[in-house]
Amino acid sequence: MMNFYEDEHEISRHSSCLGLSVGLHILILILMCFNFAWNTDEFEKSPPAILMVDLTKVKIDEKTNLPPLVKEVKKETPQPQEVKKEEKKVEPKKENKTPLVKKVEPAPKVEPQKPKEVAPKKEAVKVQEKKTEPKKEVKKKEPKKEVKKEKPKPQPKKQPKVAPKPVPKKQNQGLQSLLASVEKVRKAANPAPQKAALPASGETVNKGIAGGTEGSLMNDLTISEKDLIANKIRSCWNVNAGVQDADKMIIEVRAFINKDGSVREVKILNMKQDPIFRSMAESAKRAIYVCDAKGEDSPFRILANKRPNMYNSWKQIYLRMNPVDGGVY
Amino acid sequence: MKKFLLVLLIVFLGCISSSKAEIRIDVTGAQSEPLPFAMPDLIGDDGDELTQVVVDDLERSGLFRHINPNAYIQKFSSIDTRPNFNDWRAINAQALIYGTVTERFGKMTVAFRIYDVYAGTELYAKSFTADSKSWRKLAHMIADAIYERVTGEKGYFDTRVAFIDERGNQMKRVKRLAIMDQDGANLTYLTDGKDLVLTPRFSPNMKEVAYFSYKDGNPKVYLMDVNTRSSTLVGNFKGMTFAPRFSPDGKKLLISLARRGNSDIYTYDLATKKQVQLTNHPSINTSPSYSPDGKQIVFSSDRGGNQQLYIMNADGSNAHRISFGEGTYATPVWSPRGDYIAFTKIRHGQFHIGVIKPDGSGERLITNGFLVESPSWAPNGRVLMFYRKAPSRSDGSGGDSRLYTIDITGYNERQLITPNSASAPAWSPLLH
Repeated sequence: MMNFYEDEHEISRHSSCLGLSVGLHILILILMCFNFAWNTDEFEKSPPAILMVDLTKVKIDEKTNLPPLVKEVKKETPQPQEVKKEEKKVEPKKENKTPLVKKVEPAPKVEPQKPKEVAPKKEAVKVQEKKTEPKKEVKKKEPKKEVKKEKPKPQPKKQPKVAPKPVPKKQNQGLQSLLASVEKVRKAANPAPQKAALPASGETVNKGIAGGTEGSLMNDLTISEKDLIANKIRSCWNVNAGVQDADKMIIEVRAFINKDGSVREVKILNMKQDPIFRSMAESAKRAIYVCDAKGEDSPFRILANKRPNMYNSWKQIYLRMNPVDGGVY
Repeated sequence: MKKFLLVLLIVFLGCISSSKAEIRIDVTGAQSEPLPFAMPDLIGDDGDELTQVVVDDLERSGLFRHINPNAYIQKFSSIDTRPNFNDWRAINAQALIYGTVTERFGKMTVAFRIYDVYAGTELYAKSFTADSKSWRKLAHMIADAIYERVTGEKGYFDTRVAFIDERGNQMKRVKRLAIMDQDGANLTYLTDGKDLVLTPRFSPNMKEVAYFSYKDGNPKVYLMDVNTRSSTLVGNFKGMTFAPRFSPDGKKLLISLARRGNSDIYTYDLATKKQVQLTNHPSINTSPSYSPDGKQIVFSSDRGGNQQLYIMNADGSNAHRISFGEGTYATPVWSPRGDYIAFTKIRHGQFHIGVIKPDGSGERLITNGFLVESPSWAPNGRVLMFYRKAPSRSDGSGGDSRLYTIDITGYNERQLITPNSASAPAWSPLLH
């Protein structure tokens, strides 16, 4: 019996140890969970700290026209991406490092200070937006709630400044607002160079926003329309086959067109003394008049009929004419 | 305020750019059709005949198309009459030529104007005078002037052609050396047909013709004075000489000399009678032809195994092959403008006439046939003349051969009308 009791006592002792070990394990697990969640918070809060660094690196170009800015943005955008990569690299190595937490904390303090300076505000906001993008990748690994908690902070700042566009366009909004902010920063910093650049690049400005609603393309013909005109002129241009070095001959012609599509005048811009070139140039000039004589089939009449409101654009047509193509020659 | 100024500046610049805006278009390629032109008969006696020669010359080039005079709306009474361009545009005349012809004291004078109808501008005005008997030459000169002004290239109508006139059965073929205008007029025989003659070549000054003949049973190259028709043996070569060709300055003659089953190329100085051997190779080297600047010579040789084209310096150095195509190449002739070398090519039992660039690139065959041979360049380097021979029958009949011209593009092949069979044409330089 003693043995039996002793056994029972031992069993009860074992069970209590088992319970203790299970409890300790659970405690460890809980602690681990706490630590993990706490670290992830730190990690997700860390990006704002890096944002601050990136904003200072944003380059401001001297040019004021949009096209180059778009190019610049393309060049600049990789910078935050690089930062993201750095973040990723940091993740596995410095998950539990407290310094990150300390860096994160001052970030929100800086943000509220930003409202005082106009330019930095936008930059900060934009960079935050970019940081939210990488979070999508993080979301897969971490709870979404945490990410959502962070978003509300930058969003209220964005809404008043950026138009209420749909969420999927955040990237474009970010780029545009970044462009705008860069422009404003540049204007504030160097107003004089802006004025100097604009008159010099007036045409390039138009070209740059050609695809936009106010772009130069709105005053230009479409490629298919230009092709149509080129084809018509080609059919009017009669040259002698077998002319020596014809492939090297480029005749520059300027045609002056009346509003009704009739040809007022044709000028050869690069006439030369060489009799062969002269004949070729004369045939090019003749081609314009031959086309003009085709009445409604004239490419210039077609312009007058299709694009009467764009007369200012096609009243002068500059032509570079080379007789050699894959066809006749 | 700054923003306002900036916007103002942009608007201002926009206005400027829009006011100066012009559309820029690239046109690559063109049509290649004969240029339609109108040429009413020259005003004056015999103006119609003279006009017809001019029109025929231009149309034969393949670059011009004469518009039927019945379609003309405006009539000219004087060379000073201003053309009504709308009348000529209505019939799609792109060039208009009209003028007058007057004859005084055995001299004929033609004055004419050339207009670009669509541009409404006068391109050219000129007056030519010649002996009345040479009215055809006058017409050719006018055609050359029109051709040159409209195309930019030198004409080739006031030229002559030396060739071999052939008559009779193939077994007893009579071959005579003959010359005529490039349009077939003014045919003249230089030999009587007793001796076999081949490969005539005009000297640059047109006063002499070099040719190969079996005269007196001695197959050699001879030189004939066109005016006196007296022939002299060229050089004192031991062996058979053949394939003569003048240097561009006319002072030397390139000759092939066949001896002991081999042939080499020599130069013969017509003034000093000095002969210099240029090739010395145990193979066939023949058909030499100078480049227009006289610095190089193209010839054919089988030194590489089969007959191909080679180029060497005028002193015989630096011979190098330029043709590498299938078949055999023969009778190369350097273009007067220097950009091409014409040749005969035999491949798969067919003869071809082709052109190749001096660097060996750009080989093109422009015509072919049972037997096409002896390409000869027009002085402007745009047109080739050659002969085309039909196969003969076993009894010796048939085997007719005719002269043809063709553009280097391979278009506009035309037969040149001759009274008999004709072969081995040689185009003269421009006479005026």
